[in-house]
Amino acid sequence: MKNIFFFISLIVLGIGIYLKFIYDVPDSQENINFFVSWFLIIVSISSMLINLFWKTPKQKGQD
Amino acid sequence: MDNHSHQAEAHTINQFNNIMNKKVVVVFALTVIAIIVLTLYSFGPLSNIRKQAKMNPGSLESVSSEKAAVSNKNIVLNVYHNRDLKENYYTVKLPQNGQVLAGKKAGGYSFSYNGIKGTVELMDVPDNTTLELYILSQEEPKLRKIIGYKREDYKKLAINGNESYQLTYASKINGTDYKTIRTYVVGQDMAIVITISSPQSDFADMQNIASLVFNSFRWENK
Repeated sequence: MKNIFFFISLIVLGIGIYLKFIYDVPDSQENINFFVSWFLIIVSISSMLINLFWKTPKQKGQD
Repeated sequence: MDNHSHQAEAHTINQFNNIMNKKVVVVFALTVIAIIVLTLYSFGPLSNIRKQAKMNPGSLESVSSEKAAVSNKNIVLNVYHNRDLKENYYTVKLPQNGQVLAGKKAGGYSFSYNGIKGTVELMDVPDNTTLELYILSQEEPKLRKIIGYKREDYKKLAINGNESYQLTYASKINGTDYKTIRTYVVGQDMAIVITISSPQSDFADMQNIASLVFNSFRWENK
């Protein structure tokens, strides 16, 4: 499950980087592109970090 | 003794989980803060800082001036080197006795001279179209929304070896008839749009000054 979550975050990061650095943005959409691309980059990086740090607490009686 | 070691192990696991959860909380909190700052920077009061950051103060300082004769009058043109956006550096001459200001966006100017008003702006043309197609399919439909819009002329030119298109149209502003000449020059990355307008009564003077400004335009990276 954690691997799937990490993989999805990686795809989102790729989309963010594509929108930020490769996509040819029309003049009228510069602001929205700036917001969306950085939003995707921030969210994907933080979700990867959360994925890394997340530990499911052990249930009682579980070995 | 065995019970005691189990308790110690459970305690260690708890502590470990607590540390992990703290890290998750910190990352989550930082993400929320980053998104708030990003929103302010994109659409809020901080968005102006981002736009101004691209403007080079040197672009507003004229580097030299030249005299030119327009309908028996001598006018002085200041030479500006615009270096706001990489790949889109250019030189343009604008009338000295008027007022020259930074444009609304980086890489632009707005100026006025004896009732003649003008702007110089960089315009992004999508890669999947040509400048001419873009003017006819995107720009002119926008201009048609101006009160009293009437196209008077449209022609293809070459300005200092650059493919260019010139659109002349009439419009009404507060009941006064205006004429505008809008010239588009193809560039390596973006195109330049020079718009000059005046009341219809000053059209002859405006045409002369406009042709001086248009013909002074040069891309610097060519």
